[in-house]
Amino acid sequence: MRYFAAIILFFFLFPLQAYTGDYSGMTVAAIEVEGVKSVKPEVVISLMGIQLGQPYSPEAIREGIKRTFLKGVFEDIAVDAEVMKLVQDQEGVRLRYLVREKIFINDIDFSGNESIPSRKLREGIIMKERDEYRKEILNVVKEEIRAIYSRWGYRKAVVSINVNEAEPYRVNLLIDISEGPETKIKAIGIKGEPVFDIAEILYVLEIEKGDVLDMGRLDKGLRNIREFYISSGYLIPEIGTPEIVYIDDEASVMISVKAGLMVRINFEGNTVFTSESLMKELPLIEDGKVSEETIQDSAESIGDLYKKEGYYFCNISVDTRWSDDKKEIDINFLITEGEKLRIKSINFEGNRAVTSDKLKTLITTKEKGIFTPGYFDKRILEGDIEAIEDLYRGLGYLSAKAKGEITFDESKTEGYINISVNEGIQTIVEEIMVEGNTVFSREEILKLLHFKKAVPYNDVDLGEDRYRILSLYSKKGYIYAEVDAKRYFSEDSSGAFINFRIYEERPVTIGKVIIRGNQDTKDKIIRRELVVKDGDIYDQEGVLRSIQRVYRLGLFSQVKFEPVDLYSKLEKKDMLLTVKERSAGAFEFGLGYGDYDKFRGFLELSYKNIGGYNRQVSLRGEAGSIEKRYAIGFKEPWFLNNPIDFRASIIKEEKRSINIETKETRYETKRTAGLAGIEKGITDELKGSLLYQYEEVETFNIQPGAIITKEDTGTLGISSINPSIILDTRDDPFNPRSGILTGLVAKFATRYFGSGVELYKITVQGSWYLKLWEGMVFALSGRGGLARAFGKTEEVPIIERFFLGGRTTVRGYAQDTLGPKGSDGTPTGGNTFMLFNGELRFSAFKDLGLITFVDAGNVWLSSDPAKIEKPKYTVGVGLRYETPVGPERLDYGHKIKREPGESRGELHFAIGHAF
Amino acid sequence: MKNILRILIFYSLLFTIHYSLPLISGAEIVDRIVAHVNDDVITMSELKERSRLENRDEKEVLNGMINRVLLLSEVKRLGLTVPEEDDKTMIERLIDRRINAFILIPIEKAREFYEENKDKFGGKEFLDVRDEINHYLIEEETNKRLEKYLQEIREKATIKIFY
Repeated sequence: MRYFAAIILFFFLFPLQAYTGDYSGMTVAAIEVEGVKSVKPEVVISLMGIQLGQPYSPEAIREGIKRTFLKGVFEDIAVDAEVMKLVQDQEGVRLRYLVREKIFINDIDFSGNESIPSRKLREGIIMKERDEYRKEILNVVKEEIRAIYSRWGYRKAVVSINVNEAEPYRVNLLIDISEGPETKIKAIGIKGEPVFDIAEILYVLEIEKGDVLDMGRLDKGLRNIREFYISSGYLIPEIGTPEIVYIDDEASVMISVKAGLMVRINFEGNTVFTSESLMKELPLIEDGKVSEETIQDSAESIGDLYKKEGYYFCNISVDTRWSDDKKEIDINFLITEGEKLRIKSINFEGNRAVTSDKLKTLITTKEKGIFTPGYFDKRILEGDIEAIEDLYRGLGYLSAKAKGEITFDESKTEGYINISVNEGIQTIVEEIMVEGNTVFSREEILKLLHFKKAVPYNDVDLGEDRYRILSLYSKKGYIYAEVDAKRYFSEDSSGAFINFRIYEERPVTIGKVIIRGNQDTKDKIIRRELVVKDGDIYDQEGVLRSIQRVYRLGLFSQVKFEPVDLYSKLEKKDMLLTVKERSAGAFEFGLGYGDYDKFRGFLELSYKNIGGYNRQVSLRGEAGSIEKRYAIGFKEPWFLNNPIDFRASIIKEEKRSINIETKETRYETKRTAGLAGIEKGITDELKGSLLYQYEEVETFNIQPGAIITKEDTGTLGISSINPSIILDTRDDPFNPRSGILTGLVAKFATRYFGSGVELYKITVQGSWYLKLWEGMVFALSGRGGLARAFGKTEEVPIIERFFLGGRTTVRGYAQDTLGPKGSDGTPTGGNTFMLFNGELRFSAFKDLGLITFVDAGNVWLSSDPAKIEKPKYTVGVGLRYETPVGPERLDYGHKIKREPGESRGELHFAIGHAF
Repeated sequence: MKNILRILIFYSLLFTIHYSLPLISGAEIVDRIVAHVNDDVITMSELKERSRLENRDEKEVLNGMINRVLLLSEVKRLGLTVPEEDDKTMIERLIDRRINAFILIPIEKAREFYEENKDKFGGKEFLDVRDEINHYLIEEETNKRLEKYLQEIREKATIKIFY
């Protein structure tokens, strides 16, 4: 039996040791994650990069640990392994990822700080909210706060920091300060060679005995003293660091001041510039000294100032006198201003390939004209010569030379410039050779290049073409590709032979994308915006586009996306996407004024990142003299994991329609609506939406003349679906200069949806913007609408009818006054409308603009053919003043065919373009 | 025969126990983080491997590895990287540029060293051993400055050791 026992022992011990750590040959059969709190286990599994069924590999585990660490939220990562039995007597490895997350700071608060605001302390410490919490720098923070207090005059402040766990892996810091006594100034003195009376200096210092010793105030006082000396002519005063001696809670301060050199400056002969303005131009002091050199430099800068104003022949001489003890200096600038020189003519010779007119517009030196003063500056002419040579080089004249000269008339008030050009020979591309390409065909590459056969050759385009080839390759992952671009010339330099030698190297694919820095936002929210994904070919353009898309979420103040290992030529690169979150909440408010609705204000509260899922809520209130509106909105940008917006909102509004002249109310409405639906950007410019809306509208206080159907008064419940499609290619929605805006919006309400009225309504719009030339835009717009009741509803109720006239429609008429009218003259609105507008928009001066316009349109009621009128026409002019949210405008519209009793036209004041 | 059967049964039993044992014995850590150096980590498996290769104590090796990561991140920060080059060459270049380039041994110092250690040079003239001395002194100075340099970058870095 003893014999057996020995065998048993032997077998038990030996193989066990051999087993330790050796799982090679087995496959990974299970993966578990333990210890995650703020990220999902799937994130860790994905980052570790080990798949079930894959052979066990220590290297893969090591790489996985390193990659997962880059995510930035883990303090410790360990992997344990265990053999597990599988079916059919097979064995596999179960891997467990044991992680511990880093601790972050949620909130930093201060208490006991009575003299220093929390904001100042917060800015002064290295620990910030949302940073990783590191115990070892708590002492640094304490020291920083003590230093701040010491500067403010509290030398005995005591700081303690309480760390409280807010939630798992998140702490709040409470920094408690006991400020202690202030340090008061017991005595303050000045020593050295102050020249001025000590009392006078102390007065400038603005600190006196008995004050708290505040270093910030002391620094400011020292600056005051410096200013005081400089303005008194002591341009280089020496003010030492104050010597402070502390005795208990008191301190004595001694400041050493040396007045230094007294400088007296005088200008003679200046009529164009005042002495004060010349004074500002002087670089008299350099390295704390006034020297012959700095005085000369000053004279030169005065000369430059004159030359800029056309005084080309201006002469400055300097007369300097030092006092015997070298403590004072008199500097006298003698200015001979001379006459202004203007350029009478610029002449070109030797230019055949480029016309003189073209060269004249190219150069910065200009002849005297209505808009140009025609001053002459030698340096600008030199720059012009270079520009001309560059232009020629761009055209293939590689050895072109230009030379510029100026001659003057007798009075030296007019100059004549002569520029001679020696063009030389033009070099033309004879042949383009491409070598080493296997991924792209020669044709594909040639098509891309600026150079074609018989195009003028120049070096700049050669570099550009090389870059174009490289970026073509980078799109397919060949980021290590190299291109040698060489050129050879024919003997007479008339022909260029270009050779692109391409070294393609191997393409790079993306390993894993690691997302870092998102403390609140879920990984998935960022990942779904990425154009390049795990395992894709590396595409630089896709990387840049991904960065833009992530930025556009509006959740981050910083987005970086680059390979983890920038330096080595790996074929598979892990990518690190680093974001910095910004506050997801926003508070906005505004105030506006218009002639129809008078004052109008809004207030909006919004939060953009509910639960870290980029879901948005907003609360908005708007109020004006004739309208009040409150809305709660919700938006989910990825509805059911599709890139479709889901929106829902509840709106409550009260509105009054008024006669702008008599201020009488035409009717009032109270509306409560709930709507929900989806919106999808089909392309960047084309957007479609489908909304369901239920609204309850109460119409009251209606003037009898406006009533045409029984639904016009009382309460209505309208249940409708509202499809719309909009194409918007405008360059700037607030102030478009090019592009179109066209769309269709429809509303369909029937009793089958539970609607109290049955109607359909379609509005179409087409606006077109064209920049004619710089500062002039032509804008054209056509709008039309059709609304019809059906079923038991006889006519479209007033709240759904169309009204025209006013600031955005037909501007010669007052708000909502066009179309059929009731017996008392009140407009009833119509169920059909057509509207055309044309505008010429000029920008006149800076932010100011002028416009002229033509409006035409009217409203009709199909059920009342007797009241069908012809379209109404208006012409007018307007002023625009640019603001960031569109122009403020003042328009006057003039009626073309005025009816008896009507005004000649209407004046409108509003914000934003009419269309 | 009966005996043989018995032994067979016994062995097959033993076999089963032996192979199912690791299941009972539970999991073991196969790799983990032993140190952070800024955004880089050093894992246990790397440390073990290196310690075996260098045949030195793990603690000592870890310190060396941390220095290496620090120096490499300096290489990257200063843009001294060359694709396809190994870490060692890059670190050597860093030391050349940031440390060696500033070391100059004055001739008096070399002579002083010669005088102090005259007996070790076996009667050779100063001019004959000057290069040798220079080389030695430069190396000594390099090591001194490298240590200081490492200390500086260590202070700026975030390092955590779990070992």
